[in-house]
Order: sequence, then structure tokens, then C-alpha cells
Amino acid sequence: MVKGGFWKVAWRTFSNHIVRFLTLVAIMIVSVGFMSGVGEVEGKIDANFQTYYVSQNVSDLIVKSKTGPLSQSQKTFLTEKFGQENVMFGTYLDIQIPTGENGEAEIYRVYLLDLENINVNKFVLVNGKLPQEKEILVQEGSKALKSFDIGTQVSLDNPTLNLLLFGEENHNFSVSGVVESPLHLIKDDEPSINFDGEILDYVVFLNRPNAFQTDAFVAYPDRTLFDAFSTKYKQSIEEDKAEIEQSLGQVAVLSLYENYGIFSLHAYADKVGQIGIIFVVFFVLITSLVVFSTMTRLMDEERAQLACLKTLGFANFRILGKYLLFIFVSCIVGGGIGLPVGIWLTYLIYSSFNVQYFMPDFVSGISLWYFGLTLGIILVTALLVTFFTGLKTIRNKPAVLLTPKAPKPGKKVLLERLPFVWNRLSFKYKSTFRNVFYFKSRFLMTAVSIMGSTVLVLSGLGLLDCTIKEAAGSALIMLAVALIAFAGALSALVIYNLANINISERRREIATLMVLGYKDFEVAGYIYREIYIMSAIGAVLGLPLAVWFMDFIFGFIDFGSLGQVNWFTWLIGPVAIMIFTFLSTLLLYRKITKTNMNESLKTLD
Amino acid sequence: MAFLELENVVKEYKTQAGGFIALSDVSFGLDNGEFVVVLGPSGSGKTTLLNLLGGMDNATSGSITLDGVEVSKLGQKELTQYRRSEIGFVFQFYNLMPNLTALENVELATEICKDALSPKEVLKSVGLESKFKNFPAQLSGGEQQRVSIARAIAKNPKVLLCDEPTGALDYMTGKNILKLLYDISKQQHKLVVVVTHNQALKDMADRVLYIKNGKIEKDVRNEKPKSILEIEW
Repeated sequence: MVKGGFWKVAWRTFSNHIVRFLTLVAIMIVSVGFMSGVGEVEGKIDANFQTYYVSQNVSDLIVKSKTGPLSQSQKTFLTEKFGQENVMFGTYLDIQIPTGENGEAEIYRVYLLDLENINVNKFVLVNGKLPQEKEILVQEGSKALKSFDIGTQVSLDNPTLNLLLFGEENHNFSVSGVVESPLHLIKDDEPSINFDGEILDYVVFLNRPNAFQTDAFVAYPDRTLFDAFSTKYKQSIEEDKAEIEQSLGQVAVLSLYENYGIFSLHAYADKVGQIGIIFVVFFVLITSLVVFSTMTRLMDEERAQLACLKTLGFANFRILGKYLLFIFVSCIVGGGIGLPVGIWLTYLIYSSFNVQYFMPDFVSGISLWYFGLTLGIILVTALLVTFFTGLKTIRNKPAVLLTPKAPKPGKKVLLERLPFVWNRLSFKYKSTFRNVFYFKSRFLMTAVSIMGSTVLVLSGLGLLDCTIKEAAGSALIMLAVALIAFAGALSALVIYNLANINISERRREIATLMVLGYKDFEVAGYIYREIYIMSAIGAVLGLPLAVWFMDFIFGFIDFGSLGQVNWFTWLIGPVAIMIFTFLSTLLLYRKITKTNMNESLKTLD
Repeated sequence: MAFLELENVVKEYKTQAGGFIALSDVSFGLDNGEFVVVLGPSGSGKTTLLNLLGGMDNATSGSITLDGVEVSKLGQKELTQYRRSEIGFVFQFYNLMPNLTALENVELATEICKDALSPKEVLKSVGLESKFKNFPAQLSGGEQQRVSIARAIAKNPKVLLCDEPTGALDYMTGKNILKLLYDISKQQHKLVVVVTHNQALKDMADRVLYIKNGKIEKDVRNEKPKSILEIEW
């Protein structure tokens, strides 16, 4: 056969099944968008933090003397071990400043540093300028921490501080600038180191190069070691901690593991990553299943055309080629559009971390790991499945292909063996139940896709219930909302796709019913009853599966519990699925009523 | 006025290349109880005629009247009602619902009709009393066509329209099906219209309408139709 013939036939596959093509594309957009979007969040946070960690030279260790200033020999030990440029000396402490009202006081974290020569824990000057004589910097305010406007007069009259400042007479300072320090990335309450059970109200920085220096901030020379709290990093921290404590005596060594802001950000990103992976697996499974059933049903529908092409002398591989092309183009186009959706979703969830943390800037630059992985799995599964089921079909003799796939004669569905139920059903329902249960693989694929969708929607809703009750981070809320939105869209598309295929497959029956004088709504009822029943079965069976799955997830991420899920959430999930089903059938109503009655007169194809 | 009367019926289809006239100025009248064969090659307008008689489409101009009701003036909803109660349709490929038994396939039609006959009685009358519970896949082609005929007549329609009813059947089976249709027209006094390209059927009909290029070329009345069993093709 000439090459042009193939392309013409291949093109017709797209134009004849344009709705199916567009639905597949939409399913891929939603699915790949979600998977690459959520999957990349943890990596993005780690990568951006790594950039920040390098650019700000974040300290890996803080060596704190328990007995006054660090001695010269102690300092030399550290600078020789880590290098002059990676060690910064200074002092920090928490002091109480009375507010003047009924003996109440506020807690200030005070850093005494050489602010003009910061080489470790470089802060970002958000506003203002570096301090002159009798001026200070203040950490930017958050929901937990307070801050001062530039120019505000602040009194820091405290005996301990006075001692460290060698008894300076004037305790009044003016605020010259606002900073974001790597030591205070979290926007939540930070406990005081000197006052048990108290939290910090302010963090201020004083430029005092020559004050007592009780603390050393140490940054590892090898900035690649960190790698999002890698095992090697942990090992190195433990070894150095032991060595320093041994060698210097009378010092406490704190690490990034004790930096609540940085470590909790990492742990939190890790949690989002874990949730992401579970749902990515689920999305991959559902999408693969949907693509799989769409393609096998498409080939079943076109059996006669396969036979025709075969008798015309097309090679088996050529005939399969058009289906492979169909699925390839759907996946690539959908995946391609899904990629920017995913990037946007990553950005959205990343930004929601800003509510809780002073997040490093979102560095653009695309990681395609999850995108490639998920698209790859779906594409390869789809191509293999299409190829092998296609090959199985096409190896039949053309004569066999020309007759529709015959149901096995006389098989009864289980319900028919219960005459007291079966005999009470009107024949419309008999027909529906036979259709539902007779074609087992079709029923199974439909029910499982709808079950999966139900589980996803319910998980999103359940997670949201727990996040709201536990007042957890808004990143988790954003994740739950994204899950609900994407799972909802996926469910709606999956159901629309199934209903659309169902109608296409039964054009001949629809046309026949119309010729028999069935009214539009009666024809729709005949076709839709089956879809409603399958949806209802999927939604109801999805409920216990969702309970099990959510219990697993809550345990896995060590957050939330089934008890925190509102009782009506369990209703909303299945009801949403039924609403999606109803809307899909409503949208497809015209497709039924516009069926050409001449379809009933055509030869079997 | 005849039982079924067509006057100057025109059917024009709009295509991208302009208009296409499928039927031009068709007029004839058919009586109740007649067995009519519409004969023509493919593309002659047979299917279009069938669509118009069956209330599946509207004529562009002209009038079609069945038993005093002007079908060509009916709207979509009334046409559905017309197909429901006045027309029995027999398809070339039977168009039975594969997941319904023979009896249920007949019930599919009777359920929506007011004056329907008993599905069991009708199936008995076409010789299928032992096959009530069989699915189409368990029936031979001839048996399936009998179910299809039973489904059409069980509605107790005014006209039985048959589209190449023997087209998918072997010789002897085809003959038996035609005999059944002929007997129905005589015993139940029904107008039966068979559309076919099989020339041999012309001898068994009371009336033969030859259709070609969208026009009725000849309208022949057989005074003494032959029995189908005498006809060979």
C-alpha cells in the first residue's frame, strides 16, 4: 500500500474520534500536570535551599562556650580545621526587656557580630542600611516574631548585655535596617535558649566586632556535602560534634539539625514529597488504566475496519501503526501541555511554604524528572498494551473481524439465578444488568477507574479536614486543595470519557431504538442507566478502599487520622462522583439524540 | 385517497458541493393489505424513500399521508410518536439487542406501544415458540430475522417496512422469511413494503414500484402474484 494511504487512514482515526482524542489529551494534561507538579515540590525546595545554603554560607555548626568567651586556642583550633573564611565569631543571647506595664517583659534575641564582615550566615538586607554607631538591625517580622520600623528607638537595658558591651552607658539604639537571616527562616514561634518555655519576640543584630565572643559559626568548606541532610552529612556532623566537644571541652555544639526553621522546612518538604509520591503512583495507575481501556475499546469498535485494511493488503504493523500514532500523539500533546501546568502547580505549592518560612527565591529552571518518569510510564504502558491487544485482534482472519465480538451465548449474570429478584425487574433493568455484568473486563476497568477517582477525591477532602483541624502548614492545605481539584477534574474526565465511548459503541442500538419510536429521554435512559449503575458501584466500592488508603497515608506521613475526617466528607466523595457522572451524561445527551437513524440501516461495522 | 399516499414528494440533501436530489417528484398510492416491492439499484433513492415512509426524515416538499394523517407535516416529537405506533420496521441486519432474549427483544417494542399484541403470541406465530429465552447469538440468521419481524408486528403497526429483509440470509431461509411477510399482509390485512434490489421478488408482489435516479420509473400491478415458493433466483 502506498504511504499516503496510511497517513490518510491515520488522520481519519483522529478526525473520527476527535472527542476521544481531546478527552485523552485533557486526561493527560490533568494527570501529568498533577504528577510533575506535586512530584517536583520537594526537589525544588531542596534545590533552592541548596542554592541559598551556598550563597548565604549557612552555618553547619554553632560552637557555644559554656564558660565565658572562647579562648584564642579554641578559636585557632576551629579556624585551622575549617579555614579562616568559614568561621565567624560573635555572641548571641536572649534577654528580657520590661515593657513597662505590670512587670511584663519581652524576649529579645541579640546577636553581637562584626556586621561589616559577615562571612557566615549572610543575611539578606530587605530594607534600610547597615548600622552606624548606636544603630541596630532587626529581623523581619512574621506571624510569631515582631519587628520595628526603620528609625524606631529601642532601649536594650539589660545587665547581662551591658556586661558584654563592656558597660556602655547609652542603652538606646535606632533601627537602621530590616534583614532576613538564615538563622531565622521559620515564621512560627521560636523557643528562647535562655528562658525555658518562653518564645522570642524580637531578633536584633548589633555591630560589635570587639565584644566578648562566646560563639563560633562554622560553615563547612565543602558545600556539596549537605545535599538536603544526606547521610554523609549527618555522619560528618556527628563526627565533628564529637571531636569539637572533646578537643575544646566546656562547649556545646549545635548543628543544622537543631536549627528548627531549616530542619522543619526540610522535614515538611519531605512530607509533601512522600504524599506526592503516593498520589503520583495512584494517578499513574488510573491514567494508564483509562488509556488502556480507551484503546482496546477503540480497536474493538473498529474491528471491521481492521479487516478491511487487512484485505486491502495493509501489513499488520501498518494497521496497528495508526493506533500507536493515535495514542502517542494524545499522550505527547497532553503531556506537553501538562508540563507548564505542573510547573505552575510546583510554584503554587512552593509559594504556599512562604506563609510559614522565609523561603529562598523560587529559582526558575525546570526539573523534568517526574514529568519524564510519569509520562514515560503512561506512554510505554499505552503503546505496549495497544500493540499487543491490537496484534491479538488483528491476527484473526478478516472474516472473523467482520462480525462483532460475539458475547458468549446464553451466559447468565449472577442476578438471573435469583429469580425472586430477577423476575421483578422490568426488562430495561434486565438489559442494563446484563450489560453491566456480562462484559466483565469492561465493567472491571470502568469500576476500577471510578473507584480510583473516588479514592483520590476522598483522600484530598480527608487530608483537607485534617490539615484544617490540626492547623498544619498552608503548604499541606494547598496540596490537599490541589489534590481535590486535580482528582476532581480527572474523575470528571474519566467518567466523561467512559460515557462517550459507551455511546459511540452503541450507536447502532441507539439508532434502532429511535427507529422503534423510543423518545429521546427513553433512549438516553436505556443507554445511561448502565453508566449510572457502574458509577454508583465504583463510587460505593471506592468508599471502603478510601478508608483503607487514607488510614495508610495518615500512618505513612505521620499526620492526621481517620477520626479527624468529617462524617459528611465520606458522603461528599461519592456524591461528587455521581454529580460528575450526571453532568457528563447531560453534556453527552445531544450526542445521543443527534444520532443518525440511518446508522441502524448500515452494514455491521 | 389511498391508505398510504405520496404526492409530488421531493427530498433534497444539502451537501458541500451544493444540493443533491435523492427523490424528485415521487407520487403513488398504496392500499391496506397490499404486499408491495420497491425495486431499484443502490443509489436509486430506495433508502431515502424508506426513511420518509418510516418517519425517520422529513420530505423537502410534497406530502405523505398515512390513513388520513399527513406525515410530512409532523414535527420531530410527532414523528417519534408516528414511528412508535404506526410503523413496524424490519432491518436487513435484524438489529436485535444482543443482550436481550428473543422474547425481551419483542418486549422492547411492545413496552412503548398502547395497542401492542402479546409478545409470546407473536413469537409463536412466527414459529419461535421454543426460542423465547434464546439470545440473538444463539439463533440462526433466519430465526433472528423472525424475531425482528415479530418485534415489528407486535407493535400492531399500520405499515410494515422491510429493508432488504433477506439480504443477509441464505436462499431457502430468505424464501421462508418472504413467505412469512406475505402471509402477514394477507392474514392480518397489513400494508407490507419490501425494499430490495432483488429482481426476482417482483413476481410475488401485488405491486412493484421500480425506482431509479430518484424517480418512480414504473408502477406495476400484478393481478396474479406467484407464490414465493415457485420463484427461483
